[in-house]
Amino acid sequence: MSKLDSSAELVKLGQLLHTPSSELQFLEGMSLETLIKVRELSTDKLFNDGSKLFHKLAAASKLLPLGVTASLGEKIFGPMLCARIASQMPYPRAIDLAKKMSTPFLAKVTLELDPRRVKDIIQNMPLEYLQAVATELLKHKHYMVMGRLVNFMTPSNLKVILNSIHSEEALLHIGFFIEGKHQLSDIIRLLPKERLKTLTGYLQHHTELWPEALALMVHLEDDLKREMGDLSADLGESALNSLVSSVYERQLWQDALPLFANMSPSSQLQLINTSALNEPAVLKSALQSTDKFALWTTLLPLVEYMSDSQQKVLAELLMAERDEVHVRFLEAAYQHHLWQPLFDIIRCLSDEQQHTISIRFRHLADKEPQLAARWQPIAIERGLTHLV
Amino acid sequence: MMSSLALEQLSLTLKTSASELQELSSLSDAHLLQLNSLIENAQQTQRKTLSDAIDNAMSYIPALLRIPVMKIVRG
Repeated sequence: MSKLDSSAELVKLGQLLHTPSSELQFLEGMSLETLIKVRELSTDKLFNDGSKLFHKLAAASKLLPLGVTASLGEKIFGPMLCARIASQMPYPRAIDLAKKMSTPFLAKVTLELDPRRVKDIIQNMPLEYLQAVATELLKHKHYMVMGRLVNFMTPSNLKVILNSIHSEEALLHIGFFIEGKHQLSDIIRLLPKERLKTLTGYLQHHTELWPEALALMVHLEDDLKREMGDLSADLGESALNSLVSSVYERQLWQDALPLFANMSPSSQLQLINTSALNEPAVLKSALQSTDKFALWTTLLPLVEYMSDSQQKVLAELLMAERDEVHVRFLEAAYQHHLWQPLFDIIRCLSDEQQHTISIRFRHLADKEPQLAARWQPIAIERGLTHLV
Repeated sequence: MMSSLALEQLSLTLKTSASELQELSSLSDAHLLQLNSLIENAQQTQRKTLSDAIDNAMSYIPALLRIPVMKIVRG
């Protein structure tokens, strides 16, 4: 589960219920699926309330000329009522009415829409109107609403609109709120390659936006994840330090570790050796999240990039954890044949700790006798033959 | 109120079954009721906004059209 996705979901639920997301903190431990379900059911409750009346109002509007209806809508009905009526109208009429309304008003109507109910309007609205509304929404920093609209736009319209957004901050915020995260890679591919570089470069001086960037990156396909991860590494140590610090302060390891695992080896080496990741408190936090979110197979391959002193700190932190953590650590290494990082960590342990671990090793070798032969060269290399 | 009753109340508000919201059963009664209140309050606020907008709109409709429009709206 992505902590960042849950956080975006709580902001959306808060906006729907007119309450700050901080008041919904009690929902933080819920799965993303449950949070989405609560928001969708709440949306349905609110948007279905009075739908018969809105349908009648939509029908009644046919009695008046288009211009009069649009004027009444804008001057008298207001954005919320117009949004509800629009969702009950045939989309061609809704679009004709929208064309007669002012852009600032249409932007306010957009804030009151449930995009799922007006997807035909969004998909058939002429691009110039979409662009005008998008510009107005951007002006007022309504990033969440824009993020919710993205999935309902045609790819060609979306490409034009995304490319007309010149603010990196806006793009990152919109990305944070995009629904249907599985489409994020396609969306990112609509941007020119150079833009990805600019976007990542922006983070160098706006480190407070790392969570938004991570929220975007974690959903990308592996090649894009690697590309963005490597672009981040290219920013240098101070940017990587701010990324790690941001992950540590907000406890975003379950989002960040899989991204780190997708970076190219040279970027991983840079990242692992940042001063931030050499802090025992940070490493401890990464270690505990690794166990909590079953990310051993993500963390262990990174061990080979650690310096001897860092491996030693990690080994000490690991041994300070409960016995059951050691069991899970060994089990993950066993299941995924991650013997090298396992032996790298064991090498750093005291004789007594190594002895304790060796007992567990023998249990594994009893289960699978051919393991001893596989361990031999790794153990010889590390001077650990007495264990195998 | 027992937790199951609070969850039942929320599921009624959201027009779904309690089993659909099973994960929420780990919340305390107070939090389930708080969530329920937030949803109901949002509905009340929305009803008031929309009702005011409709009342206001009716007074602007030309007299000749007001009766047919009212008939359509009120059934």
